[in-house]
Amino acid sequence: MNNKDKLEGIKEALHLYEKPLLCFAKQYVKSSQIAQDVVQDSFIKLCQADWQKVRKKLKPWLFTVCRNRALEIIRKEKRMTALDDVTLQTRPAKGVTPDAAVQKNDSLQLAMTFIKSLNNNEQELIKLKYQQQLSYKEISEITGLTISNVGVTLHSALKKLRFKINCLEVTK
Amino acid sequence: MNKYDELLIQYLHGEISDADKAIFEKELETNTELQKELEELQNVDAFLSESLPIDFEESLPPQSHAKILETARKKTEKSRSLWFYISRAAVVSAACYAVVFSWFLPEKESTFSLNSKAKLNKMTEYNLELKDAPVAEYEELEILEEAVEDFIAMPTVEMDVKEQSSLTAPPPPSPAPPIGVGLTGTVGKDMEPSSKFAGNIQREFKSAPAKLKLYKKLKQEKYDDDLFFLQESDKQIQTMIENSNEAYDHFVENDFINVSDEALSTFSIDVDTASYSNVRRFLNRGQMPPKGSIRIEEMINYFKYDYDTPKGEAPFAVNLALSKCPWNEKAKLVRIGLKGQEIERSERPKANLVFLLDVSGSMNSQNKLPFLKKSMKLLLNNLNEEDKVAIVVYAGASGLVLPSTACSERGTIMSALDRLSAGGSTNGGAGIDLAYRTAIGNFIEDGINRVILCTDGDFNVGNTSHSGLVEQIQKNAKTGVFLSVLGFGMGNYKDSRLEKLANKGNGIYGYIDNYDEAKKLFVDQINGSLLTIAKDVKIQVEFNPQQVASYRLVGYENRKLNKQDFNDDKKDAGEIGSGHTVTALYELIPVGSEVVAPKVDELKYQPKSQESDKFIGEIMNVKVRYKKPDEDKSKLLQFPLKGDLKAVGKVSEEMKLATSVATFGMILRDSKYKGTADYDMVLKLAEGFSRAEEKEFVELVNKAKRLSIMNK
Repeated sequence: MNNKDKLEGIKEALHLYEKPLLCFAKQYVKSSQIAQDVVQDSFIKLCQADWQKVRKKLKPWLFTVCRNRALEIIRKEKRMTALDDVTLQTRPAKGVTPDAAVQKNDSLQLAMTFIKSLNNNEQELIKLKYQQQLSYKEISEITGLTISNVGVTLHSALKKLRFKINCLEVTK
Repeated sequence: MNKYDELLIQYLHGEISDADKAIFEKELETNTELQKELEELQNVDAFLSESLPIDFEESLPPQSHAKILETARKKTEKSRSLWFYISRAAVVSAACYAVVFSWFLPEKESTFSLNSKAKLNKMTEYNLELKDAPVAEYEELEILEEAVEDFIAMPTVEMDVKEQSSLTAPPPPSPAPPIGVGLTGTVGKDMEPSSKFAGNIQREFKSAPAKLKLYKKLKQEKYDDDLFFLQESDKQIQTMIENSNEAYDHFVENDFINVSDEALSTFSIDVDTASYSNVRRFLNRGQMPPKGSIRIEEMINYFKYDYDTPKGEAPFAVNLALSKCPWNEKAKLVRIGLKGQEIERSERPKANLVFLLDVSGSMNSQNKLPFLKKSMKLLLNNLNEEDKVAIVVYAGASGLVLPSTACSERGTIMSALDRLSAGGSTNGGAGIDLAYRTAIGNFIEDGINRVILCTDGDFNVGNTSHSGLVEQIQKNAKTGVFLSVLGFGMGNYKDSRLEKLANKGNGIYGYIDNYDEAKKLFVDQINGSLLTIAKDVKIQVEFNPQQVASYRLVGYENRKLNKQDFNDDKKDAGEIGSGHTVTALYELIPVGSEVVAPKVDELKYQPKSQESDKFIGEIMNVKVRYKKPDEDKSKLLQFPLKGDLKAVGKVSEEMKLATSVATFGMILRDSKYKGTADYDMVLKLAEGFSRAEEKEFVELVNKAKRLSIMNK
């Protein structure tokens, strides 16, 4: 029963991807409120989509739709942001001791500062790779870049960060 | 240098093809500049992997969920609405008949429509809100039970209110309910055919225990739609569920069966031990384990039994023993024990292992990922130099953290393990694929090829549903790479799911609740954990009706097979590892005692044939089918058990361990067959146990006993 599969699939997708998508959307639109709208729109689109075509690549599909919608909104509101500060406000992973948490928060802050020195493309890809943990293929589908391009951009990003981070290592 | 730039980044991120990887690694051997660059970028990568991932905490507001689900339902209701209309038409026409009927026979009430009407009456008449109470009082619970039952029993088809008014309204046929309980339902358009609740839950079931009870009931009845809605719309229950999100299968205990009705009992063997670890975990925390989590066979199989080792060609030996039944005067116990061939560590074939590790955010607590790392290191120390290990992680995307590396480079493997950190959500499906591919890519003929999945069970699987995942594993199992599943940590622990996966993957399923357990699986029983010596092992017992009147298999409820499955090699069954023992107990009622199982009518066309005296000295015939690990055709072994069942008078010494564990399990499950069993009986049977794990067992029994006294 295709329809039942679809309904179940949508529910499961909601459960799985709601939170990552929200974080992802906030990268672009900054505001929680707007991010919620973007993600909601993405899921509504999912309901309207051809399930057979979409079900095998739900994750990249959802992220692509979400990203497109977010960029569309940004263009409309002319709020082109440097993809940054929002994530600084969220706490790093739970279950860490207070000391470790402080340290983790510090390194999160540090990492975010470093990343700001990169260009927009590089920042976006770094976030997709390390925060959303997407593969090259997924990143390429979502952003429209070729897989080769993804590799090249990440490489140059890492090279740029190399000196800063290695200085960090030395001073430890 | 530039030619290798592109390869370098792909290599770093595990996105490189095998062909390119070979090229790159070759260059890496001699090119020191490249080595340096790789190392530097690895540092950057490690830093970013450590510091960037955050927990995704924000979720959509309930209104968004509701809107999305509403749209989803609208877009998927086409096939439903046909049924909906048919059923509605059926009800309406039934109601019409009822009306007509009642005209002609004014005294008689048509129960169908009136029951619904009565319920609707109840709903509007009574409306009691349960107050917010931290602990539900006994009466409240009783009322709550009824409320839940009522709600569940309500018809899902909406009744047109107009039809209602044409019926006369006699008083409700059932006796007046105590202190009126009901729910304000909104009849009519608001009521969606698929969900009874339509947002009324929050108003009607206010207290937290009330909600949790409703949740459990819904789960039991499998009202998935409503469950999802309830979960999503109520933060309180969401956190409660998250805190105790352990899913256990419900199964019905085995009953007694008359030999005259069915002389064959067939089941698959099981060496999993997770249920025992789980019970231990609960009792050590001062809680009684949930009844649904008790699998008696897994508890019995946790222990080491001194069965005879195999002598002939077969990879295992079968031992049979008889005893009096301590908890049931009228019964006897028979124990079937299989013992797998032992293999020396030095004789163990080469291993090609892939650790598939869950490093999602939920694995962050101390008893999960860090503990997992410790356990893996323990295993590493017990592998041979030539054994190979690879590490695949799944969290968000999946990644090959460590390509297949020989254990002679223990340092490299250890540091790869150390570098692991948790973060992100999980995508188990992709991880499994990658793990199998890696294992297949390094396949060792006549060796041990295994994927070891370690997780806390929070197994979100990306694009596939759970059944899709099971299918995936089934497919992959055919490649000869076996899958073992190890559970870690608590909360989010999907016990039944994990067991199914291990089953389909031809591997073991264990739950590691403490370091000793890790030691047991990875050191003491490493050969058993790694090396399967026989797969798809099935047992079929034929009882002799001249001696046995009825029988009951203790445990193995979700391992039962149809009798025709025994000879069907396509049917999956359990595996035995090297050195493993498997024990199964039957409770038997000898001929001559009163029959306990419900009687089935004698056949009219196939009357009972004459009984001969040929087999009077045999109690039962135990048949075992097994396949060698790399073969697809099964082999058959047979072991008749000779003796006189009625003459068995004592509780057998050698069976005391198995019997005491079984008794304990039945008490914990509150089995309806536990007879005179109580904790003191278990303790008496366990007197004189000397092994460490047996003494631990006695401690657990004492804990359970104390808990049960406290909870009275």
